[in-house]
Amino acid sequence: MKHLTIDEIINFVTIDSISKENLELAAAVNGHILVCDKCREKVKAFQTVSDSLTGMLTPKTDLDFFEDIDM
Amino acid sequence: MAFFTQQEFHKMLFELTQSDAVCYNTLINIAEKTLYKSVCGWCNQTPVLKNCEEDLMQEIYIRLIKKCVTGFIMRDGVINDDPEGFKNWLFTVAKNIRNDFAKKMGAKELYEPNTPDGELPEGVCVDTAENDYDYDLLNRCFCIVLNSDSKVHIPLTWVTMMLVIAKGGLTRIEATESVVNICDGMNLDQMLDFITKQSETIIWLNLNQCQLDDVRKKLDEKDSCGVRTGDKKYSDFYMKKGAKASVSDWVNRMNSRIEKEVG
Repeated sequence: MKHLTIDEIINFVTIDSISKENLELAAAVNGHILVCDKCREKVKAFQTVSDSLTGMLTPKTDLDFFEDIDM
Repeated sequence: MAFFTQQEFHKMLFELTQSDAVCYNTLINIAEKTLYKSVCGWCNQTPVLKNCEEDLMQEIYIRLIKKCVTGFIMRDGVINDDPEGFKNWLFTVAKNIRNDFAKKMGAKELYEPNTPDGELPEGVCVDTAENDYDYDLLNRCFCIVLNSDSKVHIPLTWVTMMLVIAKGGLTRIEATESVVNICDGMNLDQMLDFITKQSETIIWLNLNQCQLDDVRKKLDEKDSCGVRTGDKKYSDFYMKKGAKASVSDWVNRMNSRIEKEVG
């Protein structure tokens, strides 16, 4: 069985739109990780990192915050 | 089952587990049927989400496609044939997307589903499993720190540091400098005020009032010279190695405690 490459996993984890290509990639990855524990764990790990970054990073800092810093 | 039938659920499982021809039609149909009304309710109730229901649904579909196997279908290496659990998982995903979306849009307050219009449908119990990694775990870390028996300036340092990182998206080194800049001239009472005020603007953070009251009690304690802890300058606690090194050291101590407790 051919395992998923890191590129495939990253492309899958970072899918941000529903296009024909993305659906094909998702189908291939999901189809594989159903039967491959090793790749499933890798995908999960990448998803965890991706989720935690989304949760932690605040792209915009509000101005009040810097006013508070200056006080 | 009010949202989708047993047959629909099994059709979806079949479509998602045929590794040679995975297909998402039934997954999307079920998600729309189950979630759309609630998503509209959330959007109507939350000013920053007004008219965002279609965008939210798109995000939900994308998340479901990416997470259906790792998040629900495969549990402990076997197919998770649990329609009720699937319904709850769908709402968990939707709620997380709503929170992320609101956060992106700069919401300071989030509609919570305990008002009549946007209540979660009867029988839906939002599974917090997906939340555990980020918001719930982060909140737990704050609890551990605030409950710790360390000298009060140490947990206050950690909490300030995390608020600075969460609000400013700073690196650890930048955040250490910011904490020193922010707190250097403050006494510990002022630090707690700063923390309370800033924490209110972070939607995922739920600082427990009892824990804050415990911190206040510690600040009211007096030392052998009769000086109230809250009146002491933060800078008076710096160690010989300097401000930044002290801040870094205190944060590390709290991190070790968290690591021990969270595992």
